[in-house]
Amino acid sequence: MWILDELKKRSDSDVTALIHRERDISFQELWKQSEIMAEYFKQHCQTKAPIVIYGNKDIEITVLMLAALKSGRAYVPLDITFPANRVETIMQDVENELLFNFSGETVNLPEECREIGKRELLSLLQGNPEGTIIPEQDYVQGEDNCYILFTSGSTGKPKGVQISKKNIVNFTSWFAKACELSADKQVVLNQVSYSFDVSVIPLYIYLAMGKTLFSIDKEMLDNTRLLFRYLKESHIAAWVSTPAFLEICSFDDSFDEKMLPELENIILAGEVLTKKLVSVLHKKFSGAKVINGYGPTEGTVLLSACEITEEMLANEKSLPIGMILDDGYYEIQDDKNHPVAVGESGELVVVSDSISKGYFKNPEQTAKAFFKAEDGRMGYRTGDLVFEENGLLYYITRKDTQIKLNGFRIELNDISSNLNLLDIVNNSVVLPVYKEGRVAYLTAFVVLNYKSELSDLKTGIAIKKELKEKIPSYMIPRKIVILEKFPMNINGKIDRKKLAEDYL
Amino acid sequence: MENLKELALDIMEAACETDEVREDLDLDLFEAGLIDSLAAVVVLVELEERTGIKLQPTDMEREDISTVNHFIDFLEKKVG
Repeated sequence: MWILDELKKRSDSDVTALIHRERDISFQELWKQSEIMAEYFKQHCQTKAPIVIYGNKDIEITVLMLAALKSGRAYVPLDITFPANRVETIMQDVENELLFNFSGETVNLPEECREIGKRELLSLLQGNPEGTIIPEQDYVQGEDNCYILFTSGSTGKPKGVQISKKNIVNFTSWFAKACELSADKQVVLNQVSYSFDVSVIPLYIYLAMGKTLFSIDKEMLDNTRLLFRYLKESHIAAWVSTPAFLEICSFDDSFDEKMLPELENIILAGEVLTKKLVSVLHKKFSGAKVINGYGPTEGTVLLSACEITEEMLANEKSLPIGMILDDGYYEIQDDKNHPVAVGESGELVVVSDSISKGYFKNPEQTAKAFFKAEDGRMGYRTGDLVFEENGLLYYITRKDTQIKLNGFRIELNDISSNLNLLDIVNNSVVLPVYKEGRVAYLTAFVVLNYKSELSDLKTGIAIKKELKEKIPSYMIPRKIVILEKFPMNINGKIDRKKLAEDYL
Repeated sequence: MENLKELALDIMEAACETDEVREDLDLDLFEAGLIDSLAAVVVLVELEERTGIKLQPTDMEREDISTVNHFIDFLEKKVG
């Protein structure tokens, strides 16, 4: 299953492809507009460098993604939660010739890069009434990158995960079966930020199936009343999100099968799914199946998945993350990279055509996590500790200091590295605070370079404000604790355990 | 009124998990990064636990919990 093949079959269709608030676009227009922009890329770009898109959920973002694929280029989606500063850092690596900026933020452009705002884009889309036809040999092929997702990196610089057409086709061919909807059901939730790969499910599976994507933007997320007003009219049949977002919605009594009577599939991924949430969902949506997916961005959205049954809920274990995808093979390994005994826990290592070729222009980090298997396919050390029982995998925790907060993947050292760049900060440590078995928020401990005249609260707020210019808003610690000095352990390192005991 | 203020402070302290909310009642809690949409749900849970009054997320605007003083006004309307 490949999105451009499927959309081509629908290039004359009047069916709605995407809805965002009061605007929509048909499959026919989507095809035509992406042809126009692909032609524009061919004419205006000297290189095959990726196209960078800085925005949220505007319909035109999908036009640009498809246009990039048609012109043989990858796209780099950067959500508006990214500050301009981080966008600039990423663009230095990508060396893009075009930046499509929907964010309203001012971005300092490198010399060879041109910025196109929404207004200019809309007028470009008006042009070319004759219609161009981009030949299929121009499209991205097998090993070509389709998208590069920049994810939190422990050095403070984001890592770009390269995903090829081969990776996507492998993922969608496997997971599309779990996504099937009844023939009369049409609408699918498109809420997940494009810089997070769970958004690939609506885009590369459901849109390719000819379904209509119903887009939810950031403002709607911040305003439950507005969100519900749209959801009530949405006719959504498939829900794709993180557990955290669905949990917020589920807190409202009115959010149930009366609000979403057509809901059949609930696909959740991006963080640990709790039994509590699934029980609530089974009550609220008695006719819908709940699918739990697991996978790092490096393995193209999901490496395993399963439907959660009543039996699993009754079991005393946590919920399983399912079985590894069809073409994959895996091993659970100990610290010395040897397979563990059956039932023991260890790091999940997967070989599959879904595994990325590595991090963009970052051979060092690539070599640490990726390897080439004997059969020539790519393998990836996930850093996730799991165990297996009765043919199902169960997630335990991370091997390192990477965490998930509300579905967002964060390297704690990414935050402290950026904190340490601030003038006032001498050194910092960031720790997660757990509630009910998962990360509720982050606390940063900082030692200052000089004494601030402000209260600790105001100093903390000032630090957060400066930090917000460097890292995405979801990475900002809720609490800043200012210390005179860090407690040290016998090895002369900062004693994180003591910090957690004393303050968290 | 004084009781409502204490109630508002207790709830916000629990939701934001810091007594720093007591320092400045006009501080924008969203801007200060002390509260987010998930913590907003905690506000409602805390309110129910303390008063028995169950409100829905749709009963509350983001504005209503953006500062402690706004939250006191909100409680006056809903509880007081």
